[in-house]
Amino acid sequence: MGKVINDGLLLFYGCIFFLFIPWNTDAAAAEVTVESDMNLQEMIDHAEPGDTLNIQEGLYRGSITISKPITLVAQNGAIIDGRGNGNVITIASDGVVIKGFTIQNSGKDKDNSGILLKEVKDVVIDSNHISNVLFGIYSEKSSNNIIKNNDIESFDTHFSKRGNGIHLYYGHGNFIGNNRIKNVQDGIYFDSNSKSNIQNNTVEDSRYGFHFMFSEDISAEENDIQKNVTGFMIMDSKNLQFNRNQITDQFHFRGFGILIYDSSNIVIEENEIRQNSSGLYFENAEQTHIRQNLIAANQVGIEFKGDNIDNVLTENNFIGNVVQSKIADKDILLNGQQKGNYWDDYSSYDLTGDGIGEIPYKAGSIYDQILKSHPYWQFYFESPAIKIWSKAESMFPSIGTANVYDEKPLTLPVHFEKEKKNQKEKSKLSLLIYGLILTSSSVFILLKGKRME
Amino acid sequence: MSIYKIARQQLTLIMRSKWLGSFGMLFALLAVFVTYFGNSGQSGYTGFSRMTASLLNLNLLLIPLIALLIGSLFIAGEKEDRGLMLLLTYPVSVKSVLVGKYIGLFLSLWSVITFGYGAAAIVMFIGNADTSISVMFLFYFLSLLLAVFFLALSMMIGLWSRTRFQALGMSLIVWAISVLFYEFIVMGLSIFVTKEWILTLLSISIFLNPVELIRVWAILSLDGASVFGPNLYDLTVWANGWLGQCLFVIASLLWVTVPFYFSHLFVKRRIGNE
Repeated sequence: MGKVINDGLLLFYGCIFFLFIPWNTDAAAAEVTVESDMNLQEMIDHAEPGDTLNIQEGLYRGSITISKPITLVAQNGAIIDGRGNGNVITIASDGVVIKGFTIQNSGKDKDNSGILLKEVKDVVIDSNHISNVLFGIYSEKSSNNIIKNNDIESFDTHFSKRGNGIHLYYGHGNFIGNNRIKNVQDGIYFDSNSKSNIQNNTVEDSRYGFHFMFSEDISAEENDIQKNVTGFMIMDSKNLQFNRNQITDQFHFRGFGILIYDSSNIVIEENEIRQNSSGLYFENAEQTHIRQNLIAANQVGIEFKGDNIDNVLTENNFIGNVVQSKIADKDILLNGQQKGNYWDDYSSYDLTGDGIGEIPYKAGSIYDQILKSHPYWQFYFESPAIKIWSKAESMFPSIGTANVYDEKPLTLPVHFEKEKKNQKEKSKLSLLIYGLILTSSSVFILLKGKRME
Repeated sequence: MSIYKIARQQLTLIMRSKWLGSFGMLFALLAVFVTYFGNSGQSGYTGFSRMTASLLNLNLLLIPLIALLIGSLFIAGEKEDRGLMLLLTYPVSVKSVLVGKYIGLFLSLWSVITFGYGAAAIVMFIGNADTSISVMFLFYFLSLLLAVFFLALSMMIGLWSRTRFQALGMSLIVWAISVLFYEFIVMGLSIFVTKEWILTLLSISIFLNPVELIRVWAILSLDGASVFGPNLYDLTVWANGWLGQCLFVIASLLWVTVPFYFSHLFVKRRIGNE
């Protein structure tokens, strides 16, 4: 017993001692102020490791290279301009911090970028505004870095002449959060990267939102991807996890919300996939787990090609997609073991009370067929005339070849626990109030009309 | 003053008949049925879904029918019974008779639609469904607008026909064409038209039929582009822009004023002669 206490005390003193160790770098750490008429590169070269450079407002021309662990903090309005040549900032040391700069005008060659991380770790890139560069941030074989709160924009041309917002080439354990990326080629490109976490970023008006190649163990949460060609492009990757992302308005002719190609073990949960040309696309995907997503108002809800094995789709809401699911060239089962999905064009009833309809849902309606030959007739989507037509046609078993089916379709949409409760109560009460106002005013007019004369 | 009196008289006449009550019950029942069994509010999506489509279709099918039948049958009946003739011998202008009758008709239909939507809202509250209130009000507004168009048309038909039965037949024909056959006709035409002209054809077709006007307006107000798809992207872009919205408003005004003009013409030319 006493020995345990002794050990505890020892640990305690150890900690105290640890706190007061005069660390080399700390002792020498200095705050240096850099004015706009000084040469920034020289100031960096003269700094000691651990120093903090406060960069005053002004325009600093020329690229810089940082090869020791220092902190660069911009006062508001400090601009580093690469003069259209090479990389604007090259980081070649661990533990560098870059904060609050406007970084602009990189070169246009190969992988020129706003900030290049060259085989380093523990770097923090925070609150910078990066524009007019080929790549925003290029991380080459770098690990455990934090990239957050940055605004990134590439050149104002076609996306084929731009670089990626954030490019991760090898390396692992990077955190990327709260960045706003637009007008680049791919928002965030993971090339052979692993164990990274991406949160709360937005990517707009680019080619792909997130692009995964040969990457694994990456999780993405609450990102907002919109108006790109494709939202998530996932190729030859595995063990990815996506939660609560919003993937909307990928309206390009060949645009996809999430495209999975030759990948395995992808988990997609509680995302909102709206208004894309195709919501989800699977080609040679294995062991994907798609659960509780809202897949709505897409041109095509879900699409399959090639060999897709062991994929589970369960409790998703497929609502108002013009074509809910395209017919595939192989049999596709859309439901999980316990539950299937909600399809808003499914019309059968739940007789046993378990929330599951008694007749399987089959993809591919007569309207899908009509649309293929007359794409412009989409103008009459769900209109009274088309509705009557497809009802009439469905009475004849002319197209019973649908091979994409859900054996356990849900009869009611899945309720996601997303909104706040308070708000809901309020909207419900106003529903009652509106209802009462409408009915009573109508009754008032009715009575008044009747009573006259 | 005389407009007010005529409107009240018209309202009272309609209230006393059983027509309105039964239509009101039917509309309210269907609205409640569709909203309750078809609410997709819980799914977290409030755009254009197949359920909103069926609610929209309910309006597109029923309201023109009710408006045409009530309006044309009443006015043709009055004409047949010479009540209208009598009214016209009083020192009131034709315009105020028309406007008064129109207001009376609209008030009665307004009460039916309002009751239907109100009942649906209360049922949704009781059934614990959460539906987007803004979508409900959009539909309410568009339903009333649809009633406005078709009441004007119904008045024109009522004044044009000689008997109740003629009015009934004509109303049914107009209803079937505007709600059902019109779309098939445009679809048929689009097969023969070259590709460059399809968008023009579809754009024009919106304005030539009040049902289409309301249908397209509703869909565009909900989320537009995704429903009509990439092929009709150009159409949705201009229709959602200020030009499109202006055209919608102008077309709405025309769909009320033109039938009014013809009604006026019919009263002046024909009733005096009969």
